[in-house]
Amino acid sequence: MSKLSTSKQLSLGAFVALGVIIAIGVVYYLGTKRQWFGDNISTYTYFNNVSGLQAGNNIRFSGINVGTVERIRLASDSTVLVEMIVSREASGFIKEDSRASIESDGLMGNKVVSISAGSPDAPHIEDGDTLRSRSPASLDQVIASFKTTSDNANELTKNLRDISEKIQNSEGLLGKLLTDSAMAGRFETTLESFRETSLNTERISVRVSGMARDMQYGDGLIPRLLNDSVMAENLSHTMDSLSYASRNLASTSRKLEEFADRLNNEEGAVNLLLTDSIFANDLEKTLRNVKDGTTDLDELVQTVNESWLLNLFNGDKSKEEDKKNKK
Amino acid sequence: MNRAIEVRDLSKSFGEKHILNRISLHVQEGETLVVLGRSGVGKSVLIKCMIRLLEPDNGEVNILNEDVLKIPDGRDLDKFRRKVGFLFQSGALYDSMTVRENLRFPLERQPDAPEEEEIVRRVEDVLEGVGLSDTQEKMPAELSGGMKKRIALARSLIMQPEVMFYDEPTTGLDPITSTEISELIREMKERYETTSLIITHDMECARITADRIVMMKEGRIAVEGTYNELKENDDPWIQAFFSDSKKEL
Amino acid sequence: MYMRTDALPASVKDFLVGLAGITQFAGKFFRNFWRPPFEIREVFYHAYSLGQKSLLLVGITGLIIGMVMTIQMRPTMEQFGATSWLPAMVSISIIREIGPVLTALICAGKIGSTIGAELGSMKVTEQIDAMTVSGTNPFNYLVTTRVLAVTIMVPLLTIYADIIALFGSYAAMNLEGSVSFKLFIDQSLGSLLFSDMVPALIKSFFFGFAIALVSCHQGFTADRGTSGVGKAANTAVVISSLFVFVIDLLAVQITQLIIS
Repeated sequence: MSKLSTSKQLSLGAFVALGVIIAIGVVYYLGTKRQWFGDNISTYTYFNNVSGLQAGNNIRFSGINVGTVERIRLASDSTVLVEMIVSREASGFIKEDSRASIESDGLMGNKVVSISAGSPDAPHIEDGDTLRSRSPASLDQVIASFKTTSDNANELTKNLRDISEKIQNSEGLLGKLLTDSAMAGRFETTLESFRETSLNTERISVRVSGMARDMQYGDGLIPRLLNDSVMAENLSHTMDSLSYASRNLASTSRKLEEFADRLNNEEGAVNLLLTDSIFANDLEKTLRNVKDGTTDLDELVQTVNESWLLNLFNGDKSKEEDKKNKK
Repeated sequence: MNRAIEVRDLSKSFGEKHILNRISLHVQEGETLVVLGRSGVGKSVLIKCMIRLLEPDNGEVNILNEDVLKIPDGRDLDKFRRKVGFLFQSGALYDSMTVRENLRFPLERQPDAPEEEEIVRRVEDVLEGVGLSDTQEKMPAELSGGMKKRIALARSLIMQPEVMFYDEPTTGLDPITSTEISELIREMKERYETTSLIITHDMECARITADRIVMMKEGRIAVEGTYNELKENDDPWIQAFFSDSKKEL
Repeated sequence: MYMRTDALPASVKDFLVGLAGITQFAGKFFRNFWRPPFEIREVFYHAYSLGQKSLLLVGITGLIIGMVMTIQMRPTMEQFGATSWLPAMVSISIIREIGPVLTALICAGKIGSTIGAELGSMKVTEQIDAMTVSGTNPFNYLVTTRVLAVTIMVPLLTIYADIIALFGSYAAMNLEGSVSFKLFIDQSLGSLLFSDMVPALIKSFFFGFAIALVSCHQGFTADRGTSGVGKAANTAVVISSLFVFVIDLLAVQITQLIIS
């Protein structure tokens, strides 16, 4: 029979105890990291794309870890449900209008769910609440700037129309108007900014359609989430008309520029031109085209705003902003 | 008198080699039977079959009114084996344990193990019986061959078996020690009144211990008789044993 | 229908017979596990002599592996500009794979040969038979205790090896540049998940079980003669190392299935 001496028994006991303590210590360490042993609440959020987020990734609020991702599963063909475990302590500061977004922790880092601070007077979240998410791509921002641009175009057109009306209706005034160098200068500036606007519009529309292409075929920021075929068709259709409109706008602005050039450079021809009713009609038509173009554009943007894109990215806010802009 | 051991038509083969060929023998209660035979004749196989260290192919073994070959493996077999002692050729002392631990080992592990005092008393008792009272704390490696055999004998006897098997008890020992061991076996047999079956090729051992001798040849019993009867037999094959054992000395 | 066993090559036959023997042995272990007498003291003894006495060897190996891995990985991580990920990389590979497998292999070598030789020599000198005929179940005393002790000790040794390897990694990290201990612990343990640690610990139980069982089986079935002892020790090491890898292969798949 092999009996152990007391000292050997002691060392064996110490060995086993220490090993178990280390194991328990590490388990506990990982446990607190995963918030298994603390007072926690569950909260949910939906993303269209989680960009490789995994169960166990951290949840950050104001840059500190407040919890971990518990579970990720597909909720529908284009939405992913993310279940998050957040410490109760931190949940007191997360408001119902806080937004969850997915960020990268460093260049090669893990993904983290970042929760933005909500408005101070909103109630804080409770166990089982669902937070709204923010899309990784800021497409709604692009749309917003697009809207501003077309609003500008609209205003310009109105200015132009005013001018042309003045040209048509008060001939006496026109001579004075056209010989007034300050007035002419203003006209020129107007035209210049109009040209810029339309270029801007075109650029944005190209960008948007590029994005749409990415969405459909590519592996960009918003890849699979938009792989709904109906939506994609809708999108490409919209983009087509968008670029058509902006091309229209660009050609109109070229014509206007031509007109302004003539006004400026061929002094002798000005009167002739202005009395030529055909030309005046021409001008009128051009201006109407411009107006139509910008109205189209405006409508388009409105449609885009109200339809899928905004629903997709929870863009209620930008819609409200649009309304404010309109007013 | 009752037959303590009865073997009938026992056969055992290893592959094509028939070691035991329908062997039959019996041992009366309290009797010492010596099985003589040359090396490789299957003596060891015979007794190993009798206590189920080897499973025989055929036949019947009856020890203490139990049909040994039909005892189910496990607790029942262990229970049967505790009634039987077995002295191995090498002694087979547990070399990681002291002498005392060796002796206590089987005693302590019985389901109805005796009291501690009883164990201590029995250890002292058997050690005294084999004349090695002062070796309790020794390790087997510190003992001589003869002492190992004695301790091994003591270890078998401590269980107070009703039947003892001895597998070549004197092999590997010098003649004087051999004689001592043989005499010890006889002494112990008389003291504990055990039925014994001794396997050996040592005629001297047989002379000292045997009540009756059987000789094995080609897997079966060839001759049977007392020491003196065999000695007076003219058969050269039998006489070879007597001269062989002398040569070996 | 009988299979013509003599049609099989001897090596295949040996392999299958050995496998069957080990399987039976495992079955016998679980049957005997519940059967008295319980040799608790013997379990402690083997836990000490087989398990704790391997700590030094396991610890040294762990320390070296932790250091070497860190030093080897550093240039690659530097290329990616991700040196801050070194602790996480090292700790994940140690905890998940290298710690358990390396410990198991060392134990297969040390414990396997010890058991194989011990039981082999007991078998050869008829000590196991002596226990059998004295009506004491040698399986309980010799095998169950060892299997139990090693099954418990290998995971413990793995934990120690992991910790020591992490310490080695920390030391190596401070050869170039300096990392505070707290930061190292945060980064190395912080990147671990339960799914890294728990399967690794569970599989090391199986490693221990397999090593002890295979080695005991080899010892119990040792051939007569002194060469039988050597052969038993040798095959104990070889087969238990092989078992470690097979179990590892299974474990990684099972872990993947469960986690995903």
